[in-house]
Amino acid sequence: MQTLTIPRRGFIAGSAALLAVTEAHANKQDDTLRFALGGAPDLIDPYYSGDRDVTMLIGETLFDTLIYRDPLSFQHKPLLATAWRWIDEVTLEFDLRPDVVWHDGRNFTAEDVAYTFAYLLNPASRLTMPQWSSWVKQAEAVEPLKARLHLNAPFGPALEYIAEVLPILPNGLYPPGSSSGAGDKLIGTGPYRITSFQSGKGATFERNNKYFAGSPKGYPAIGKMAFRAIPDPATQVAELLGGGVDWIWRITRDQADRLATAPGIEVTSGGTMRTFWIGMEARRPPFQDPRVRRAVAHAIDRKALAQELMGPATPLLDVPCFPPQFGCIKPDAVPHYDYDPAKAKQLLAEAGFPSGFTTTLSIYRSSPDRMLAEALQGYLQAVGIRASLNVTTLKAFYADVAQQKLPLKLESYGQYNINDAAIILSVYWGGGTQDSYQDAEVVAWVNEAMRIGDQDRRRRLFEQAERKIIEQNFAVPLFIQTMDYAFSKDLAFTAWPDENPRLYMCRWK
Amino acid sequence: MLAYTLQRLGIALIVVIAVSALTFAFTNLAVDPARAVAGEGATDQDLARIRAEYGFDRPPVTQYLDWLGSTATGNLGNSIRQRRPVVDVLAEAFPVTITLSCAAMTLALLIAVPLGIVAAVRPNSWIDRFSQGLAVIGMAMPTFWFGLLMIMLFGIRLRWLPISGDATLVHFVMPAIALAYYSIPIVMRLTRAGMIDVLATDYIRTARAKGLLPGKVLFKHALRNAMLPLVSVTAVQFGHLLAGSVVVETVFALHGVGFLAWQSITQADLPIIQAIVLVLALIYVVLVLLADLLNAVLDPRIRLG
Repeated sequence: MQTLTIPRRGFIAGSAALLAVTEAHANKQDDTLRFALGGAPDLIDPYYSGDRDVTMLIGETLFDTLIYRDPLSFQHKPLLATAWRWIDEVTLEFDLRPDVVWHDGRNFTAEDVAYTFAYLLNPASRLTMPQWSSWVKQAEAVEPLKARLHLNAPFGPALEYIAEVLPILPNGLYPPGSSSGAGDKLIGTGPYRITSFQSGKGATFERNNKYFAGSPKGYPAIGKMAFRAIPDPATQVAELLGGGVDWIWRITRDQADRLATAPGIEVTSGGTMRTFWIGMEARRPPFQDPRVRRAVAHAIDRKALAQELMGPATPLLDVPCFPPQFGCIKPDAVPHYDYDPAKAKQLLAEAGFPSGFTTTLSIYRSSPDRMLAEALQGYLQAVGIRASLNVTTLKAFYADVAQQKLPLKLESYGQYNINDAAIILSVYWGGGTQDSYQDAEVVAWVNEAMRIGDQDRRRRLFEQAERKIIEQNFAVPLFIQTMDYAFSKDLAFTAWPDENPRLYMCRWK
Repeated sequence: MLAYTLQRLGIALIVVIAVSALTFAFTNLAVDPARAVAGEGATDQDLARIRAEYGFDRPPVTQYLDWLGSTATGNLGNSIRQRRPVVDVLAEAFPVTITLSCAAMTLALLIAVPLGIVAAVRPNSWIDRFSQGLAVIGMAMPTFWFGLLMIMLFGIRLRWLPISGDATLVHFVMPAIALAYYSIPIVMRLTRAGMIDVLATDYIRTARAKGLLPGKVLFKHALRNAMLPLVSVTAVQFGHLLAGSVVVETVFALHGVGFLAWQSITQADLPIIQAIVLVLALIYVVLVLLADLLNAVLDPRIRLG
């Protein structure tokens, strides 16, 4: 969710200076990892909360999925399932781990898998994101420790969805007719169990002492965890400096720089899966002309933009997807467009705009999009494209894209942590209302890849589509956003490349 | 007095309904609740499903009238995001805001009224100039900045007070001071101006000439009349504090109505937005009504004229 951000550079500096005489104390003494979340999660149930922090951070803490995605290699590994196999293109079979117990002491079996999918597929459950499971037709318990998923049709990213967004629930978790989540009654198999939850305020967790050995998530080292919703980033910083919390994230660059000098505090950077790019309305002039789109690609100094505004560790992006994703083409397999304002001017002149033209650059998020958009205005102005800034709402943005009203737009997408290019390509280049290009070939390739299970063919189709997207400048990829974290020096924390902080893996130094 | 009361009640009802209708219209124009529920990158099918499921596909007028009808029976509907009755959500948020606002208002009155009286009794003295300076700083300094300065001093440096949260009454000390500082200048200046006007009137001079004690002249005769505008402004100020504490609630992580309203707007949780606006409009209207009635009691010319 959005946070109400009030920039207070002086506050951070002042607070850090004060800390020179009052070093932050941490919560190592009572073995409780306290952390702050910017959003105020109203629901903590990952199937009902629309808050991505909850589904990602809390979901994995309380629950396990059948398959685990390694945070470094992005490879799929056993978790609740010890092995899996495709029986045919629409049937996936799992062998389940025998030594797993739920937080309430019951044994985990295939009946739990069958219950989970039966609940998810029941329209009366009114899930927030039913699309995560709607590709499944049915789940069945074949044996006590063997379950099968029957798919409606071949679905390429199936394993990725199972690993990232489909935690397994205990049989009978929800009361009949329930459609509002389980709150503090949640029971999982994960490394921590929930002990309290106050909607919008916070929750507490306790180590699951029966967590199964051999889990790739590791046995939890810290006894308790607790989070509080603190919406204002400056207050989060104050709580960290004052020892009220041990860990915060999503801090801004200037906050990170100043916190790095505060005693007792450590700052680190990690990756995210949020990619940024410039989109153009290619169905209407002037961006209908490929030379104009290419001129935009040459007009932007992406390196300076990324490093100056987003931080020196910000990776540049050359492709229309998140590079580690399945089906995301290698950067060296697509054309590159260097920062070359002279060439951009030349291309504009060739396209019939020797004096440039006036247009509008649209955004719908305030931070960091506004800052980036203002920098982009400068680059575009330098080659003759005079872009006024249109800051709009999400509703208006999507409606206007559908009606071909936004000539130029700064876009970004977090991929919902799905490491498969299908998630982004299907939305932005798959022929839907958010596709401003509607290229017949690209649409056909993307949609075919969405319908088949043959992974080699899927990969080829996606790469074909991505190559054309870059060749035709149906996107000007910019960079991948990074994430800054600040935490107590007593805490051993690792920042991962996919934004998921995996706090259940932390330990005290 | 009865006719006057009924007339004010009728106006109050019209105001509340008009405010709720306008809020409904504006929020529906500004946000797409289906898009807010589905998140970025949702497909057209996702949006269609959510619109049908939540009833967003019905005509806006039908949606509004349905809401108005159920509200009349005390049912404010269910929160889209929290999936529980709006009444329950508000029941958790209002005590926080009411505690904060009452503390802030009490603090503001305790500081502003005596300062205003002293400033009026000793115009252009050092205390008058100090009060004026305090008022100017109070009006000029953003609430969030004042709040953060307090956090730095009392939360981080001295560690006397908790930085954020609403677990105990001590957690409300800094937020209440930050919020009160917003109201003090207005109440103080009004008290000063009212007292200066009243102290210059003939009946005060007469009271003094009769040999009444200065304290009696000041508090029994002058203050009572100077309070008339103050009562109205205090009511409105209290409404402001209830509705306008979003920044203070955000800075101090208090999960009150102001923060809930802001959060609901960003999440397009229309039932909560509607309910908050309705309840706050009701509170405003009741406060203004009470102020009108109190003024009518204090000054018979109002109810008779």
